[in-house]
Amino acid sequence: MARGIFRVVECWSYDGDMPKIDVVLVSVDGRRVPEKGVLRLNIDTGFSGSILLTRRHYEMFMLGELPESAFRVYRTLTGEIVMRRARATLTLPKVGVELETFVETPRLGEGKLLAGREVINKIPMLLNGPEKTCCYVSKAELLEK
Amino acid sequence: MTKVTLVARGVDGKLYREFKAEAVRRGMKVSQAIEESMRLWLSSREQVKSEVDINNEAYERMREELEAKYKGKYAVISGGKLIGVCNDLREVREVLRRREAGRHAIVVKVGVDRREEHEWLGGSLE
Repeated sequence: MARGIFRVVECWSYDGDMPKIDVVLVSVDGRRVPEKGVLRLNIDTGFSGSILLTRRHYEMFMLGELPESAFRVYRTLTGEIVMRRARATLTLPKVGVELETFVETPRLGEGKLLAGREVINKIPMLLNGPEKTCCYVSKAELLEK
Repeated sequence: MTKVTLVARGVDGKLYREFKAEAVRRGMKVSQAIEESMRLWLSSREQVKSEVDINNEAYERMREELEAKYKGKYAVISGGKLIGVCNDLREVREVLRRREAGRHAIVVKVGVDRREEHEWLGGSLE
């Protein structure tokens, strides 16, 4: 396992005890979501997908949806949930990071605003629980491999 | 026909006043205007649904051919037709803008996008 010293680039506070992340999403046809400001997502490491949206937010991505045969099926504690899925670009405005990603919403139901592991695993991030802050970090010095 | 009494909290006051004034201008009761709005909203949902169905049926019809010819490229389907095959998402955006796709389009990476199984454990699940 590589060990190193990490430099904190930007930190922001949890909301209460919930780690959050501010993002801007852009649909395949170039629409910014939200039109102004940022979308605040709960960080949920129990969700293995990318970005879960409410139905209202997801409708902005209907021009880049995947076919139904490529929708994901999520196993949950209470059974399976089929999610609609569309392509999007995600930006972290605090640090200028841009990623291609998927946005999803339940085929039935209202959805939520969440960032799941598929996104979190692409971002070098520190969740500092005792101080209730999330930090974006970059590797400053590699100590050993 | 059963009639129900609605109480709605948190409705935008300005929007409601405009809605009520428009109902009066049309000589309707607010309850009649709400019923008409509900019918219109539900019918617009059906319109989107049918566009979604048309595009999905078209994709399933052309799926084998797409996988034989365009593996790894982005296929864009709108209005029940293949409207573009693109190398990247920038090209996809141009196709969608040029062709003025309706309210729904399928963008699929041919041979790559498939049904996947994932998990959602506890956490934010209600």
